Amino acid sequence: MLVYAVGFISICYGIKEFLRLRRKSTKFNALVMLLLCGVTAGYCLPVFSDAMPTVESLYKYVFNPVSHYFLNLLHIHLENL
Amino acid sequence: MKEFQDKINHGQFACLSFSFLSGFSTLYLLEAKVVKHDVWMSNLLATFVAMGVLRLLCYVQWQYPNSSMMEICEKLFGKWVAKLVLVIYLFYFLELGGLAYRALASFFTTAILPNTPSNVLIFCMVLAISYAIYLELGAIARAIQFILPLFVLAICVISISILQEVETNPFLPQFQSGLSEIVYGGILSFAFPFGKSVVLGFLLSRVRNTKKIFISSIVGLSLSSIYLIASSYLTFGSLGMTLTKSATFPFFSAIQLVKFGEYMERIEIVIIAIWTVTTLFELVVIQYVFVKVMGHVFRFKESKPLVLPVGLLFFAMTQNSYTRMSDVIFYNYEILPFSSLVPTAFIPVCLAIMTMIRKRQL
Repeated sequence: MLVYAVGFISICYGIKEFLRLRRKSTKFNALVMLLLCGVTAGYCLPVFSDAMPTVESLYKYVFNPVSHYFLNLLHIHLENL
Repeated sequence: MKEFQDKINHGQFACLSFSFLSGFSTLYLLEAKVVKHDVWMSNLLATFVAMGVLRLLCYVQWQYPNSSMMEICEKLFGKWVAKLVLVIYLFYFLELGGLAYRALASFFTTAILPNTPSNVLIFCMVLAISYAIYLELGAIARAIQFILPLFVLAICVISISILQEVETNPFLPQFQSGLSEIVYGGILSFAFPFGKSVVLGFLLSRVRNTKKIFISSIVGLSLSSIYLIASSYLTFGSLGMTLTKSATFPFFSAIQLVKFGEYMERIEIVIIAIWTVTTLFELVVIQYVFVKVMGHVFRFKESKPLVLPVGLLFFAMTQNSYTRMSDVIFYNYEILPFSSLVPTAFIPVCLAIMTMIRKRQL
């Protein structure tokens, strides 16, 4: 419930700031603001959130091989912990 | 992005550095679980590397005293490479922020509020932090300056109380771990908490007397290192090696042993307060710098409209990340030590090299 509310707040805020920034600042800033709020709302909707990458999932994908390589190099066995 | 920027003095910056670096650094004591008796060597190794990184960042800042780190990146790397570098930092801040929110929320739901959903706690934190960022850096620094002495006193009282439980030096016998384990412990310790000092680099231009930025940051870093080593010492001394390894929050478990006579118990509430407040300050700094960097990357004339959406982004991102405690532990052991090396070590070194090259060219 709270997550949906945050998504809704984010969309409302994004539209409000989009309209304000389009008048007072540049169109690019307005679009960035809308995109930022849209991404946040996307993370709050279960349909999109599973498909959207997070920093955790992205870094796990990128750095897992690096981590395995260095841990093997250092002979560190974390499963023994 | 030109807007009013209030400056802080070097004393406030030292308090901010200590509070930011300490955060929840003693919550898991991950490196202590790997390196055991020799954890102090890993901690010292990471501290010295972090000092080196801070020295490089201060050197860069001294060459461009009137520019922020974002502007310096643009001057040194050019517009588009600087944007790429700053985007890497934005990802790093999201990573750190997510881990900090999740750590505090998991701690609260495990130890104090088991029936409260973690997203409620995270949302409350996001609101408080967004408000603090809205008040700007001067208010944040003054708040830290006011609260920190009370917490330093509390930490000292708790440490002395636990010290009574310690009978023999728990760091003995030394050199039980191999060099590779000590190095890995150092990398762990550098990834969290000492490597975070790179975030302070973005605040160096906001200190009034830039000549003292290195000393101030070193004071904060050294105190944070002493606090971490003392926590490991006290935890090993009071809980022993086996219990320390099996406990999720070992320092918290160690503090639970303390009682004064038969009438005053449960002083762990003090360390809960310390962790909560210092982690909140840590998150305030991370989100504040995130807002500033994002405002710079996308050329926002004013950064205040970004405060709430950035807070909500941190909330949404944390909701979908590190959902189980095992995820946090896995991430901290296997991913963070390597993913954080680029923003915390590689980029500062590149910045310093580029500064030296530019200096010779002039």
